[in-house]
Amino acid sequence: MEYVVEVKNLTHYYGSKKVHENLNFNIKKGSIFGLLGKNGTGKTTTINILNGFLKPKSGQCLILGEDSYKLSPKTKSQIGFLIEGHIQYSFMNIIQIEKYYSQFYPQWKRDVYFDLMSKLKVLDNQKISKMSCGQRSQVTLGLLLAQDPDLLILDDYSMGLDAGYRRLFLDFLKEYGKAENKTIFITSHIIQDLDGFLDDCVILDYNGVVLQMPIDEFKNTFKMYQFNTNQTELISKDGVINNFEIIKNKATVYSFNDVENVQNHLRTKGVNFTDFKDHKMDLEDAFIGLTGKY
Amino acid sequence: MIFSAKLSRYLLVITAIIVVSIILPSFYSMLFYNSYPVPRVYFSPVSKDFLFNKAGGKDLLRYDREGKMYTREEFERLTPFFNYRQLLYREEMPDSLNGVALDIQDVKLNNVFYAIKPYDIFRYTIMLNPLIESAPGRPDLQMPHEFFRIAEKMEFINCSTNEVEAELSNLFNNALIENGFAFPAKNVFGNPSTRKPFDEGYLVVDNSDKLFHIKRIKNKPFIRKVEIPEGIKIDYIHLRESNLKEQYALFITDDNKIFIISYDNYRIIEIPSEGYDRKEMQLVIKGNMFYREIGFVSNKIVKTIVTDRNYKVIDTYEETLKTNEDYLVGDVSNYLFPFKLSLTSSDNLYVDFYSEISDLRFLIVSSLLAVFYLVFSRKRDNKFQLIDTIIILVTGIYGLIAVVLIKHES
Amino acid sequence: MYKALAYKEWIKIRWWAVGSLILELLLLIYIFTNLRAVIEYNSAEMIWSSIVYKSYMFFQSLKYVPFVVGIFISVAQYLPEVLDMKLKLTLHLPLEENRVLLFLNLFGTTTLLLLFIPLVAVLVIGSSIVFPSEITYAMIISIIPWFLSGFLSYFFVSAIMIEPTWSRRLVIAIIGYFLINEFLVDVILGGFIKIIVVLIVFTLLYNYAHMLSGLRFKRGSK
Repeated sequence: MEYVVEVKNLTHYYGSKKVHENLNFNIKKGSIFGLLGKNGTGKTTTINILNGFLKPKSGQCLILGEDSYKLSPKTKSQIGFLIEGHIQYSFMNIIQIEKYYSQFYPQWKRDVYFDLMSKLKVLDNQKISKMSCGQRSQVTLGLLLAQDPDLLILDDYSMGLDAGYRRLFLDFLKEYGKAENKTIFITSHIIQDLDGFLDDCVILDYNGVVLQMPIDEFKNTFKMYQFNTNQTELISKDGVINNFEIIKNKATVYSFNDVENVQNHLRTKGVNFTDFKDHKMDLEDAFIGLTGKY
Repeated sequence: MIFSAKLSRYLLVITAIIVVSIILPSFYSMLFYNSYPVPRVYFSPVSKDFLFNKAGGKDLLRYDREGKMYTREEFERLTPFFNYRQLLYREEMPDSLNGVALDIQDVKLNNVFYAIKPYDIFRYTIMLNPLIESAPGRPDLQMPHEFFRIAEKMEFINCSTNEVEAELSNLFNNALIENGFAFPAKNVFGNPSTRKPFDEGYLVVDNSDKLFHIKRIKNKPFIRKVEIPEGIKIDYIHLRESNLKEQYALFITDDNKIFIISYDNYRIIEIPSEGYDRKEMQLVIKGNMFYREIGFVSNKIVKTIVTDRNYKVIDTYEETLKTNEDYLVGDVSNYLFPFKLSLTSSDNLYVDFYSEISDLRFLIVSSLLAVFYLVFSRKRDNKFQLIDTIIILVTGIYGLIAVVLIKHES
Repeated sequence: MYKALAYKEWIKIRWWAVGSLILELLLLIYIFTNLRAVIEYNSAEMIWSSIVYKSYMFFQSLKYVPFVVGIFISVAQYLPEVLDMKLKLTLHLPLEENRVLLFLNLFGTTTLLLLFIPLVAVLVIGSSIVFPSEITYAMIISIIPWFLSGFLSYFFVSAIMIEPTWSRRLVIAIIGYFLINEFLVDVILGGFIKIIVVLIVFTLLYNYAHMLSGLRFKRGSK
């Protein structure tokens, strides 16, 4: 099986509000896949559909070859699921929750969990509800890693975490993904953390998918060009220009095309430019360049 | 999951139908139903004809068969036995009637008035009773310290210790055995009160539907097998001690016949019972120096049979009463509601499923609702919801409310 | 695996269960001290008469206790599950979802049974000491619907909790209210005898009452 997750023509509405229309993407086995988008673009909805907690209007979503809405217990045992906000049974303490979850997963890795817990400064009888958000994230991470699933689905792991815990979380994941050839599906709204972490990504906009490609390809081909011009009104989004910004007569355009193509394109539109420069971008710049600041 | 959810939905739909079929009709009748007064029937020993009164406006309406109205005073003068206290007060009590001298003590003694309501018969009874000493040797009767049961044997249980009084129990138990009593008792009827002129103990129906009279006289058993007509099954006995000492009790059989056990050596007298249904009618017994009145009363019908004191029929009055069923509101209710459900009844103290099932008129409305739903569901889900439609067809408006409130999950 | 599930349920409800037991204990103390006082103030035969002829229910104060305990256990069990949608964690376990949901309710049903049986036992024993079996029997018939109302309040509150939409919650609450009302109707002692078996069977069916809402939760109905 090449793909762990296959999303085909997924369409979903909340009432009459469109969330997804004909969403398609696949996740390769062993890859780290990011679903990126601003708040309200349907990331959590997608996760819910992937986990069978939402029945899509139409389309199909296969996880490990099974319809995500009717996952068998066996398949569910191979999926680790992090709910947005590191939600766990907060009425338990770290001992109880380990005792609980270990019963469900035959390959449970007790040591992984307790290694992680030993680094936390929490008492054995301290309820999870009495922990800080960062501590809670470590508990959920420990449980996920001990479960040792083939596919990890992480809904906004960064929510409520400060930089240190975010880094810690990703470091563990990176190790996990590398060593075990596991697949990780991750959503986040903090893009910069994911730079150098993701293999593939889908970027969502309010209107649907804006981009789907390997992350290196995205970073290498998506360019930012800046120039001065007096014909700012002639610049518009089209097949070449994905996005643009104008400040006085300084223009910034984003495009998947190389310098030559963009310059030719501008000329045919009648835009005269001076001082044309192309800039390197990191993932976050590219993300904002693609989806806009608003 | 789908299957369980379907099961769950139908469970909730059925529950909703049950709940709505309880609430909606009672709400409807609260809003639209009138209450129609039930006339009370009297037989005047003066005019020798029926008189009636019933609620109408603020006052009682008093009238006769021809519809002639009477004032309260006129009415009371026509019913001197029933209203003797009022007539005495106004000094209008006649000295004699129909050539018979009226002594007040006699009038009082001969006046009889009691009613047996359906719920007196249809109720759960705890078969424990106190057997009062009939010959206490004192002016007043006294509540005994034990209650008795007649199960596998007759036992007296001391109320303070909750233990069986062996000696007393054996005494009575042996006496019952000697008299051929078939244990356990099916029913025990008595008047367990100390506020009565004397005590006549209990009338007990045994396991083979034979009748026994049991009393406690000087702490010894008095047992008398009462011969009753072959093949009858006693359902209820009204026993009341009266100084008139004309009858021990009145009993009703499971086929709505009414009998009296007279003091004349327990002679059984059948009294007129045509038209009586103990399940829904009150049996009202009235009597005076001259007549006996046997009345059957429900909110649909009123019937009174007047007899002489030997139960020879003199006159009969029967009136079918108007109910809401006779008016538009009743009609509408019959079209609207396929049935009306209640867990309690005014005629019965058991909790049970009391359903008034309407005739088939509701099918007109429920068919319309079903078709409407069928079209609507086809539009909404692009699919005919056949089972829901059948539910609506059978349960009408209740079903519609239920399947709309708890919608089909697509 | 279900053992682990039961372990989690136990952690949630244990203090509520203990609280319910204390409530029941206080109730029993009240019922029997009150009965003793009433008997001493009047006389035993008068109380027997009142029970037999006037349906005096010395256990009347029990009436709404099972109903309340049912709500307690349901809230204890399901509120933590629905806050932050933790039920998703439970449904994500490698078990069949409907079995999980059914198990949760069966756990609650069992808990209620374990909470109610000692209460009934003490009432029956207490009543048997003071009264003949006929009265105890009538008492049992009379209190069964009250206990069933406890199971029903549990089942309906559970369904309300799991249900994802407010409008449907209201519908379930209204249906549940009127249904439970019928179980708590005031009647004479033993009045329920004719339909008690039907009511018991009927009540057991409501173990499924929350399954529709469970499906709606899973589907993300809005």
